[in-house]
Amino acid sequence: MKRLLLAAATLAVLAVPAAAQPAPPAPRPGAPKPPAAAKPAPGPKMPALETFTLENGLRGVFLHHDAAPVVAVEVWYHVGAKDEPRTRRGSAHMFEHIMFKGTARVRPEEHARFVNGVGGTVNAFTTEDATAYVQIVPATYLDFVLQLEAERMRNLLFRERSIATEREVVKEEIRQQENDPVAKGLLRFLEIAYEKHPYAWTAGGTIADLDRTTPADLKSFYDTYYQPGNALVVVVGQSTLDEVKGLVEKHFGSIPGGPPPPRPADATPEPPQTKKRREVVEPGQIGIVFAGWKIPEAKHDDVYALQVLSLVMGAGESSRVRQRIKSDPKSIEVGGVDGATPVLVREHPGLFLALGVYRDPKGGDVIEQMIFDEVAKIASKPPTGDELKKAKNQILSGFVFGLDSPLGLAQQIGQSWILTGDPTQWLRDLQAFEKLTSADLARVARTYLTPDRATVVIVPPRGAK
Amino acid sequence: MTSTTTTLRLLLTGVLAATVACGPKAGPPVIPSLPGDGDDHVAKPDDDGKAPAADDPWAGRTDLIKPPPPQPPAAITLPPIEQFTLPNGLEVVVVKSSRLPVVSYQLMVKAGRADEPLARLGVAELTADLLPKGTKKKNALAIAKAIDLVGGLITADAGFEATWLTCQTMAKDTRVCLELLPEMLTQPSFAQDEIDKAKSAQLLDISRRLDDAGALAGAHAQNLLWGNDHVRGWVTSAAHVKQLQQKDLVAWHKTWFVPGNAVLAVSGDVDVARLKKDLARAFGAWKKGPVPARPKYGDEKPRGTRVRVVDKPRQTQTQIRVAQYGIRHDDTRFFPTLVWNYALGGGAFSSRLMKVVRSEGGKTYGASSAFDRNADRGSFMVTTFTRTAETVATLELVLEEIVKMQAQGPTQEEVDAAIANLAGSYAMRVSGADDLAAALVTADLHGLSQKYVSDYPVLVGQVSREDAADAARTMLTPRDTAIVLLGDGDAIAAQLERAKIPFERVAFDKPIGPQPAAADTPVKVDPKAAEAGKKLLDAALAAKGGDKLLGLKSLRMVATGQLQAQGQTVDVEFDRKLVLPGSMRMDIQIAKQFDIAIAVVGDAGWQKSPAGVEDIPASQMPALALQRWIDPELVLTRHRDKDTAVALLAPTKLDGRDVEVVKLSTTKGFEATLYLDAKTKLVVQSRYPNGGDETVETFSDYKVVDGIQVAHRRTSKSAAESADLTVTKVEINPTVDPAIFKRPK
Repeated sequence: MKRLLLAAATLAVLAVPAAAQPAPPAPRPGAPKPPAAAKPAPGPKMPALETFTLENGLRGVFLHHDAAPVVAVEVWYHVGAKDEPRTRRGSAHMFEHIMFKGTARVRPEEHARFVNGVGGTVNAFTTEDATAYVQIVPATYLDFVLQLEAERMRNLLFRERSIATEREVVKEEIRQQENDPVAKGLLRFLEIAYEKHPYAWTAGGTIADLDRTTPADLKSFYDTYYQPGNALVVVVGQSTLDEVKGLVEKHFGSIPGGPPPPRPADATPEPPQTKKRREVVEPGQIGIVFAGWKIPEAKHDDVYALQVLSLVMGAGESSRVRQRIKSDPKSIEVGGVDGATPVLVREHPGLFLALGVYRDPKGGDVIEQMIFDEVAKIASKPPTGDELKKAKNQILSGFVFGLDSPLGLAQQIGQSWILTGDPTQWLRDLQAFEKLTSADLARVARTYLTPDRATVVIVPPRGAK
Repeated sequence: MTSTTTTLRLLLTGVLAATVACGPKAGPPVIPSLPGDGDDHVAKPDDDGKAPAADDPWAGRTDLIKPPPPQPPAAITLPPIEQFTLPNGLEVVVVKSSRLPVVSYQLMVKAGRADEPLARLGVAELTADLLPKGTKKKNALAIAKAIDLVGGLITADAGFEATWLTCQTMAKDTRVCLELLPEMLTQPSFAQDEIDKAKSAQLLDISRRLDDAGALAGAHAQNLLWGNDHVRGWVTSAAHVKQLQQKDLVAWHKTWFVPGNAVLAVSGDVDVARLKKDLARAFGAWKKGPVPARPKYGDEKPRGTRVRVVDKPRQTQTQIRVAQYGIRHDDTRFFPTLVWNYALGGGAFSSRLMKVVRSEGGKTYGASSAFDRNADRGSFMVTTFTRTAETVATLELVLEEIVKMQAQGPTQEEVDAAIANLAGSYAMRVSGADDLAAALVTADLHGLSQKYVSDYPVLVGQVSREDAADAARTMLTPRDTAIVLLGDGDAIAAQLERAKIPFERVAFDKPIGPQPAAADTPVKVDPKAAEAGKKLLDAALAAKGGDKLLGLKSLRMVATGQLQAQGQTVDVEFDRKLVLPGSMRMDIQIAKQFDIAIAVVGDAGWQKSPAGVEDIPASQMPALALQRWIDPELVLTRHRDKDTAVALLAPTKLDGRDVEVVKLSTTKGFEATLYLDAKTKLVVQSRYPNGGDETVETFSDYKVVDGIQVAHRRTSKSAAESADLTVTKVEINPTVDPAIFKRPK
């Protein structure tokens, strides 16, 4: 079993995903993955992205990649859980499922079966900010996959029986969280951290709201958000710009453009937090402390420093929070095992998180205090030269290793578009990271990671009182 | 006589299953194949009673989108691969790729869970965890700093067949891996403080598993399928982790971590000539050593279908696992199996399970099937989950699909779809240099060549529908499956009982499989309670027979009655012979059809059944020792043993009768509470913990036989089974031929 699988599981409840189908596990013995660095760093040859826009507003991006004779094809829609009404939480994700349930010219489930049948894989996911439909196929099937994606952009059918069945499927997906105290703790954390903004809930939503979501709701959602002007087609692989542009025009060009969709979350900004929020929730088999601070939206300049700060604090075994929880005698005394400091960069104000896992029922307060200690220290004792170098090297190596994966690159492109409006922005981020100093990191820690802006939820281990 | 109960449980599973499975079958194959025949035991799938709507807007259309044909399966062209062996015997495989300025090292040591003895379960993983946690030259923090500073990554994991130690950096920093990897491999310090931290982390994982319903269900499925005597059935528990010591890790490392037992795969932007020199220098000090033989396990015999309910109250979903034995990676049916499995449940939305259980049934988010790819045959497992109320209905759907696949195999269309995907997607799965390197090394571990790796799509493409159907028919065993249902035990049990499906039930937080023997622990007792307890037991001993009982050398007892287990009730007759101190033989006739003999002498024993003669596995001996200790004819002598503590408890009433209560405990972990008739001082009831359960035995109709009071009516009850027996013959100190204890050939 792997430690810090918890942190990964935590993030799975959060920003990443409720996929239309479960991702098939593909364990490879010993095949390592680089640290989860979010952005690239200067140095290596930059991928050459080509962008274009159709008359109907649909944007396209192509990146040539020849690791294998394949193409990754992703269609990103700029809509996610934060665009849902508060009485329809989970509807964006439920809608994502319906995208596989049949169009005018494709029977239910055939999109996935067709892609599988040409040697490809297909999946989809919904986050708070976006919904993406992803596939990777042998390059010769680019035309076919684009045809399928265009077909469901505007020809989806809304059949009561299919929707009723799929609602039950989605409810089973969500129900998994009901039975996991750590997942429930994290959901409660978000509810407390965000009082007004829709980031208070995840794409999974609630079972009660799913039962309230009607076919008419889904159709209205589709007509509002699934428009060419609200979408980005990303192709990464063995093809050419001419071919990609030509095929995108061929399949999507005749779809009429629609009005810009509403952005209801703009009307519910999260007010500034002025006091620490803290709650101890239902126990689990292990203890975990969730601590978090709201940070600016992705476009804000300070987000670069916050991302590097998260690496200094929690990436690699030598990082501050991990070392403190793994090795401090007081932590060992309460069964402290490990920590992590993931940062959730989002289109609207996101979160800087710090987690600590422990075993002893008395450990929650101790681990919480250690996390706050380390956060306070970084403001007064900025990262050393080596710590900053480590973080920048982690960003650089993450970027370089990431260049090997067409799907990973396509995802970077799509995510960049969602967060900043520019699918190429992530390439320029490397330079921004390189320019950061220790003083920058200390400054953002002092500005954003203060006790009065913190939210803490503790899931104690069984036996805790 | 009720000491037979546990022993019987060990045997009856197979016998009863054989009894019912041999029942008459009428007409087409029974669906589903759960213990018990026919539709009576079927929980009907959901039917909302409405006729399917005439809702097919695609019917008759000619403009539907059709997929293009798949590409024909083709071998992949491997990049140039260098292979050489260092002077110390370390094999090296190099996959050069200049596409990215990165280098990966993946070192595989051919030792893992499969090689662990039960007494050291978990040692492979703990040893792996400790490799990056300090060497003779650097402590854990120094190693972490060294790799983190360059943005690299080190991992160390023990799997079933092998342990992998990996290091990955940008090409310009490869010297860091060349320094750290051999050092971690050959000079681990196994510092006690790091061992303690690693154990704490593992204990956290084990606790966490109790909240991870899927992982917990999977562990139970492996244990139920493989049993307690096969390494695949063993599940690491907190007790296993706690008992591991530094010397165990040192010994494991010394035994298995030798160059001749390892393969190093290097991939990425390397200069091969320079790499050879670097590796010779880096790993040159790694001394040769003998390569140990790996333990071998025989193939397990089929044991019938059994259902285990793992009770986790208040769950809103049930995790469902249906497991059976799998296939060896070098089996000629391997590729046909890949194909039928894709059709059954490996092909996501292209599979039957997803279609029936999710897309049409709406019962789950995921339903899949998969089998291990190991040198041994491993497991085949169907995995799904559903809301609690749909548990049995979903299980029925799953079993129906397994039965259909076994009977008919996949269709031609399904075979074509499987080949298109498995062959067509292969190239992208090994396009990365490190993926390819790992694939080559793993193939070699299973005795497969590089050609296997390159020609994989072609080998898949050669599978015919007949091949796939034959493989499904010979591999799938619907009548020999291990079924685990993890969730709200009461709700699941109610559904199973309605469907008349027998099952066993265990609590979710009970450790799974064999546990380490408890170390001798002193038992604390209040001295006054101890003295009063001993006085009572002396009186009880006198009442039962006093010196006659203490002088017992042998005993024969015959009894008849009924035994209930796994929802079945059978007539039984026992003939038990005891020769003190430690020889016992029991001859049992079940349902007037099957004869079983069990014999135990000291710490070993054998059993004979219609299936043949087998040694009683070591893991079952502690349960038999408990039964010997609690034997109703001998338990009243136990308070005289040095390692037994006694405590008088408060008196109470049982069925309106006044009883005195005394508790016995031993340093070996046996304990029992005896209820003695306040007037006669004869034992009327005993209660004792038994493998996570509690057994309650009652005794009545006492008659004197050669001066010893013997209870002629006995009952026994636990969660899993019950017995009701009448003693028909008792012989005190008979002559017993010692030959009856000898293992038959």
